[in-house]
Amino acid sequence: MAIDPTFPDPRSLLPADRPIQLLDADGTFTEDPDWPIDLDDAQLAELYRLMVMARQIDAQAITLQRQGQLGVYASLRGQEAAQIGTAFALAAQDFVFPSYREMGVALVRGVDPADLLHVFRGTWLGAHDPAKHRFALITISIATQALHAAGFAMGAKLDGSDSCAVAYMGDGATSEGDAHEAFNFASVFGAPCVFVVQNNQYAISVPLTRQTKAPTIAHKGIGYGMPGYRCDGNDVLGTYAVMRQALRHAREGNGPVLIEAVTYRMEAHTTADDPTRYREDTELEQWRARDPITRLEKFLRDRELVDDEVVETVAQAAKAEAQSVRAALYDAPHGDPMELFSHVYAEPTQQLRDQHELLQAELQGQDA
Amino acid sequence: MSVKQVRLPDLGEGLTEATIVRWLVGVGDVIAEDQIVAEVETAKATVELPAPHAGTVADLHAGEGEEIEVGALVLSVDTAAGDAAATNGGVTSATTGHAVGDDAGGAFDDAGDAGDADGDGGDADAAASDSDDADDGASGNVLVGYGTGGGRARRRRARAPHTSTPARSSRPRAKPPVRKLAKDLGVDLDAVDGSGPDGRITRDDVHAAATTAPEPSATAPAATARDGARREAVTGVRGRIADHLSVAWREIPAASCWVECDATQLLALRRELAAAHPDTRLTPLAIILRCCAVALVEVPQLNASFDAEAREIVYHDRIDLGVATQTDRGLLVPVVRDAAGMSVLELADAVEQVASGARANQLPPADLVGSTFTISNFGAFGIDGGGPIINHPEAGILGVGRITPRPWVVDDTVVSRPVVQLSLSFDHRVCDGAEAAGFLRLLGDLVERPTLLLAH
Repeated sequence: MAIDPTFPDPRSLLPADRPIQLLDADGTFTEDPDWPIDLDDAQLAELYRLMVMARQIDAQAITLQRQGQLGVYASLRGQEAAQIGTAFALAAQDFVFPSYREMGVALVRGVDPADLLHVFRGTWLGAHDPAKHRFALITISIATQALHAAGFAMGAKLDGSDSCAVAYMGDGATSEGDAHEAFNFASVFGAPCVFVVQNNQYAISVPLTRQTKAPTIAHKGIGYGMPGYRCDGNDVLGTYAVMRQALRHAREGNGPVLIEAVTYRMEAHTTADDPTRYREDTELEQWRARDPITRLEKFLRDRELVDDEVVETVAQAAKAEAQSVRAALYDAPHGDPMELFSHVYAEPTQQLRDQHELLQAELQGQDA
Repeated sequence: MSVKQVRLPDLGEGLTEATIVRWLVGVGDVIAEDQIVAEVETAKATVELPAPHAGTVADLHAGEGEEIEVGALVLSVDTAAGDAAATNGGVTSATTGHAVGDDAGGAFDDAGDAGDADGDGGDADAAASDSDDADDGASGNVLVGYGTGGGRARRRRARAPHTSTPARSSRPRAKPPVRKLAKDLGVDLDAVDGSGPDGRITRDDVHAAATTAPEPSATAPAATARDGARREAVTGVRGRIADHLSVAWREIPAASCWVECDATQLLALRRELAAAHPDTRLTPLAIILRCCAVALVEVPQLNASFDAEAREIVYHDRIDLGVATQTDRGLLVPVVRDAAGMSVLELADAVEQVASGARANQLPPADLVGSTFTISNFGAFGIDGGGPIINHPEAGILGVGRITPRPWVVDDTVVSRPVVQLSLSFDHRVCDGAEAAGFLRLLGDLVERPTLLLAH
C-alpha cells in the first residue's frame, strides 16, 4: 500500500545528520539560514543573566537539601542552555508543563524560585500561580505532563486560541507509555504542542544506549508523523532558534514538534543519587569542556557585550538572589495539616470526615 | 555565646544514618554559612555536608568513621563568637537523648558491643530523628524515581554471622505520631502489645505502657527541670553503648554469682612464666582467660546465645573471647578469636594486641564485634567485685576483681593471701544456676590450682 500522497515527504520529519548548533563549545558563532535568531544585545545579555542565576540557585538548593531544609532536589546543572534557550522563545500565552528539573524554565516564566523549591520542602506553600505564569505545577511521575500538554494543546486548538503547549521531559520519559500517547494524540489532532526532550544521557543510572534503539530521540518523531529537531542542548542560541521554529510550526496549525536537546546532567540525578556508581569522571570532563555558560560568556565577551565588571555584577546579583531564596526557605513553617481536607470536595465524603477526625485526634493527642 | 546545634539531616530519601568520612574543619575554626564542613557517607552516596550557620566550630559530635543517626547532633556552631565566655551553668542543647548531669560513675563493669548497636536502623523508637518519616528502615515513600530498598543498600560494618542479634521478623506496627509519643515517653514499642486493628499499637497502649514501665525512665521529668545541669548529647560510642546495654538489660533475665579464690599459685605461675618468657607481657588476666576458655569448653551452656525469635539456644562452635576495654572513646569490646586452642602466652599476646589496638582506635570494626563470651577486668580499677551486665546476645560475662591481700583461712589459721573475686552474670534462660555454678566453681578451682590447666 502506498503512502498517502497528501502526507508531507517523510524525510522532512527526520532530524538533520548533525545536531543544530549556532554557538560551538569555544563560543564561536556560526549563522545558519535555516535556523535564524532575532535576539538583540539586551536579550543576549539577559540569556546570560538567567543562566548564571539558574546555576547559582541550583547550587543553593543542593546545599539546602544537605542541611535538611529540602527533602530532595533534582539539579539542572549543565542543562541551563537547554532550558533557558527554549523557554526564552515562548510567547506569553504559551503554557509550560514541566517535570521536576525545570527551574531554569521557571525563571524565564517569572516564577519565584523559592515558590518552586517549597515543593521540595513538602509543604503546600509551593504553589506558584500556574495560570499567572503559564507554568504548570511540577510533575514527579515520569511523562504524565506530556499528556497534560497534549490535552491543553487540543483544547487550545478547539478554542481557536494561539497558545502553544510545551512539555518538558527527559530522555527516559520517552520510554513511558504516557509519552507515546501524548505524541500520538497531539499529532493525530494537529495540536499546537512542542515536546522538549532534554537528553541528558541518563535516566537516573540508565544510559541512553539502554533506553532506546532509535538512532536519536528526535528520530522518534517520524513514527508519529511529527518533525523531530535535534540540537546541541548546551548552545543557548541553538536551542532558542530550534524552539522558535518549532513554536511557529505548531502555532501555524501544522501539529506538534519533537525537540531533542542533547545535553548532560553534571550533577547527580537527585540529591539521593550517587552518579559515580554508573558514569566515569572522564565523561564528566568531556562535558565540562562543553559548558553552556562558559561558551556564551566567551561569545558575549568577543562581541564586547560583557566584560569582567558585568560578569562580576551578574555573579553578585545571582548570589544575592540565591541568598534570598535561602532566606525564604530556611526553617519556613509548615502548613496546618488539617487543611489537607479543606479543598478536596465541596461536600466531604464520609471517608474523608473519618480521616479528618482521626488526624484531629492524633494532633490533639500529641499536644496533650 | 550562642551555640547552634546542627543535626544530621536525611541526606537521601528515607535514610536513617550516615558515617562521617572526613572532617574538613576542627573545633575553633571559623566557618562561613554553607561552607562544607565534612564528607559523609550514606547508604546511597558520599556527599558533602554544608554548615547551616556561620560562626566558630564549638564541637564535633562524631569521630571520623563513626556512624550517626539522622537527627543526631553532628556539629555545634558558636554563632556569636566573642561574646562573654560561657559558664557551665548554661543549658546549651536540647538533645535527643535525656542524659542527666555528669557522666560520673562510668560503666566500667559493663560490656558494650562497640561495633554496632543492634537493630538500630529499624527501630523507630531508637531513631533520633524527629522528622515524620524517620521510622522506616526503607521509606517506601520515594520521590523521583526509586526506592530505598528493603533496608540498607550496604553496611560499612560487617558483623560476624554467628553473633548476629536475632532479627525481629517485623517491627511493631504503629503510626508515626504514636512512635514519636513512645519515644518521648521512653516506651519501647517492642515490648508493647498493640490493641488496635492488626495488632497496631495505639496511643492508649503507649500511655498504658508508660505508666506501668518498671524501670525509671531516662526521661524522668526531674532531670529536665533542674537548673544548672549540663546536658550532653548521647551520640557516637556513648550512644551505642547506651542502646546496647539497654537491650541487654531489657531482654536478658540475668542472675549473678561469685567466688573468691586464693591467687597465690596463680601469681607464682605468672612469675615463673614471665621469667621464662621475658618478651611477653604476662598478666594474671592472661592465665585467668586460659582458665575461662577451659571452663567454657567444659560447660558449653555459657558459650551460647538465646535466640528469642526462634526460641532456640545457639551453642557456638568456637570460643571468641570479648575483652571489655576502656578507651578514650568509651567502652569497647575487642575480640580474641578462637581462644580455646590458645596457650597462656598466646592469650597474653592476643589480649595485649587487641586491647592496645582498641585504645589506639586502630582496630577494624569487625574486630570489635562478635564475641561469644566476655570478660571485664574491672579489678584494674581497684574494684573487688560487681554484677556486670551481659554483652548481649551472649549467655554470660565474667567480672575479674582486683587481686589484693586478704585474711584467708588455711588449716584453721587466718593467714594473709592474695585473693581475687570472680563474678559471673548469666542468662537464666540459657542455663540454670547449677550449670552456672558448675562453670564458676570449675573456673575458681583452675584459678586456685592453675597446674590443673596442664590436664587440658
